[in-house]
Amino acid sequence: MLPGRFIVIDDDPINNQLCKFNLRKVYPDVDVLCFEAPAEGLKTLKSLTPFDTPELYNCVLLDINMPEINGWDFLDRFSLFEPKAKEQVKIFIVSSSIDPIDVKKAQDHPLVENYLTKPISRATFIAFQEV
Amino acid sequence: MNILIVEDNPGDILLLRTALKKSSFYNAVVYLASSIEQSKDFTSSNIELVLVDLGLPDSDGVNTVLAINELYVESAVIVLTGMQDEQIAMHSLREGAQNYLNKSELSGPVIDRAIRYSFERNQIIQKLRATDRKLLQHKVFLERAQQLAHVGSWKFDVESNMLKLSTEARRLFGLYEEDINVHPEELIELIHPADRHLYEIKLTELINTEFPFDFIHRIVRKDGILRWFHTQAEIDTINASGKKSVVGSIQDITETKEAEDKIRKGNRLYSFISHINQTIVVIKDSQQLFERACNIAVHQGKFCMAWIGLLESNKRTVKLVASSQMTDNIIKRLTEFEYEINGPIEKVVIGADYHVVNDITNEAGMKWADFASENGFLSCITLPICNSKGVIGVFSIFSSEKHFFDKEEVAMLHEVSGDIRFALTNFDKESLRKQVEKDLEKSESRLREAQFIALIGSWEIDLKSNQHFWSDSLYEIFGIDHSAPVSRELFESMIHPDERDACIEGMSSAFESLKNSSFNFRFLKYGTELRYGFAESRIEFDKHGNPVRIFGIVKDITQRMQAEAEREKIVDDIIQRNKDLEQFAYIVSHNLRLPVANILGLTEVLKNEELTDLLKKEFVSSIYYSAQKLDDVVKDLNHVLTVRREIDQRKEYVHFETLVDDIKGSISTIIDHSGAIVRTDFSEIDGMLTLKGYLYSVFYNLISNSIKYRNADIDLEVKICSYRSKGKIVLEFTDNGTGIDLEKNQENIFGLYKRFHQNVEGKGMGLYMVKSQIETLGGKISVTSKVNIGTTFRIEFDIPTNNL
Repeated sequence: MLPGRFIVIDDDPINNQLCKFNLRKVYPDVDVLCFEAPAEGLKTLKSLTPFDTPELYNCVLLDINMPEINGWDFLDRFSLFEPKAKEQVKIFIVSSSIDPIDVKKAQDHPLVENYLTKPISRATFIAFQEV
Repeated sequence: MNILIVEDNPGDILLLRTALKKSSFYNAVVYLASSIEQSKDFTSSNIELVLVDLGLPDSDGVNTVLAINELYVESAVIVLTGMQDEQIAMHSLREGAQNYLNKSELSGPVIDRAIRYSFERNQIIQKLRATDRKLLQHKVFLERAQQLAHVGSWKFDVESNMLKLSTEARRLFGLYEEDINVHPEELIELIHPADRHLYEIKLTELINTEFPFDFIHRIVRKDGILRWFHTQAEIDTINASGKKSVVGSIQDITETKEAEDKIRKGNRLYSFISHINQTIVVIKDSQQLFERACNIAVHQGKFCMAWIGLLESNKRTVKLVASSQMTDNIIKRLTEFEYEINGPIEKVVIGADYHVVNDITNEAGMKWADFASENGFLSCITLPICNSKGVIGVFSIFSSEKHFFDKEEVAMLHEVSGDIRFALTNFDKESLRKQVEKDLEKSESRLREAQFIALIGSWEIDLKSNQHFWSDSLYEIFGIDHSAPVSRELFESMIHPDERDACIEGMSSAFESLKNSSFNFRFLKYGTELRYGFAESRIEFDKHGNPVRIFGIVKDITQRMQAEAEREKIVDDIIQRNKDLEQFAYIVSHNLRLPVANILGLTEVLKNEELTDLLKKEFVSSIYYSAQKLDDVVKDLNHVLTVRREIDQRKEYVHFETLVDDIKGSISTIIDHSGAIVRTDFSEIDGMLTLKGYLYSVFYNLISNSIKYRNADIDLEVKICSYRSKGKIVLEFTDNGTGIDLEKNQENIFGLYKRFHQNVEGKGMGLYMVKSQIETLGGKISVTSKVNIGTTFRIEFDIPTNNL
């Protein structure tokens, strides 16, 4: 099922630029929002009205290593969202780290769909339809 | 609601419509189709219910149900039947229809009930389907997990005698992808012949008595490769169908097993050597040593036979002196025998080195090869037995495996042969020494010898005559002339001035209260060389309980202290290095990887996409930026590495005030711009002997950090002061800036590439460098901070001494 919106949260502007470009190419009709400051991303995510169509969801691509609010903090705060708001959000961890400890921690996290290693290939972007 | 009627008889359609009108679904939108082909037109019309006649022009009976179900997966389906179609109707229900309606009984209430019931059923079915899909997903996950853990599973249906293997299980057994169903016999074939029988017994036991199956065994894959498996199996109790089946999990433990074998082998070798060593210490007689060596070879070394023979001088004969696990017929043969020309023994005797026969059965020219292999000896090593004069015999050790004596075995046995040589040589020396000792009449001289070696001096005070006596070695320890008159004051004057008073007080109180005492102290040998000593004193009483004599020892423990200090330093060093390594691994997987990932992603786009010039330019500049960042990380790493190496620079006395003035000068614009005030108080300690460059860098980083993270609402004030505390130089940097949330960041604060503030430019290098440099200078840094109140960094240095 196609997401209704992509939300990219990473303090690295280059990653955001790349994600935006690739997502636009693969999903010309889907909105892509990028945030360098996790707090803003969180605020926006909270403010979004739920989709009318229940199948649609917000696909969040979240970095781990960020100052002030890192990816784990973000997930902690997100977990306090109302259940209804959480239902329409799928979170993917996107990190440059290839450290197996990071990968395991992300995959074990109940709010995380999966762990994606940077750079995200075009094939992975296309695969979002099948999630 | 949308209803689709698939029916080719216009009369029946009319009947249905009439009945629907009279039901509670009277306002439903009805679509009509007269064949399966036509019914395809409405798949996107949100049909919630399909009423279908089984006999259609292009389909008949149950096939109709199947076709409709395929087209309208999520819709409820009701089959329309005639009077005699009861059987087919029941069949339809099994194939996926939710209900059936007899055309002859159509009425409002009947159709009403039928539709409601079919909806309910459909909901349940949809839920079931969702569960099914989830199960499938779980299965895929499980398979992935199994692959990662090298765990496979199988299921054996006892009745049908079929075995189903998971993907990973097939992989582990080396079977082809398509072999999902395998005959149990085929699998049994793959079990290693030596384990197969027991495997089958255990499996039967499980099936008949439900005794759990837990077995570590070998398998031989089709490609001939041997692997170790740990198989666990049990009766499948959650099997709803009631059929008896067995589920098993297999884990490839070959690597673990190999590692265990290695450890076992290591333990065996270690046990062999340590037993030999213990024996050497205890035993003083060569014959006993030989017997014990043979026994240890068999018991600890797990060899199947060992013997030692001594050479008869001037003859080519070997005489058996000790053996273990040797049967009578072999003893008869080996009691006294002439060794072969060019045989292993001759080689050992001439070369004074070991000789290995890896495969006795096929060793050319070995006279007793057949005899040996008959007795199960397949390989052997012959070691020389030497004393101080040379080879005097041979030590032969046999194994029941071919090619048993690999590098590690040989190295260990070589060691053993060396140990025996050492012992035999020592027996010779011992007897010599005993001879000499007999000539030494006075035991005193021996004591003196020992004292000099152990750096122990002794002294005595006769309380009646108040006569003092020092041993020669005590003069030696203090480095003073033997002619110096002995007194308590002389001893006291040797103690280091810093602790002299404390020691004198301790000794006096011990003498007065007539108690034994001991203490550590520092002294100056030859009046200049700083050394560490240990003193102990005891008091002797007469039978009336009056003290008659005080005596004691002084021991030079400098070497021990130095060794301890060195060891501590080495341990600290290793810990630090390990931390560094972890840090580097972290950097490689995070910081180094980030720009690399960016470059990969950007180039992928550049390579594969048609881009506008503007976009292309933007991407290329991003690549350039990433490459620069990569370069920065590499430079930083280099910088960090060099810091640890630069300790060899010359130390100089650095004045803190001058240092701060220098820094203020070099960043005056930034200080002025920020309006910061830097106050200093170095009145207690004005400087220290250190590496100026490092201390500069530490001060610079801490001051500029305070400026960077200042509180925008108040004027920044940085206070730097120095003082002495518990024998250490302390430097404190306090500011009233934004502070750091230590509760969250305690562990990371001095880590490399850690940043805590979003809105300020920083690389996360500063504090890491500060810590590295302080540690390289032998100091420690700690931090206290409160958010929005300020931060204090506290640095401690040991006060430098010239010695030690």
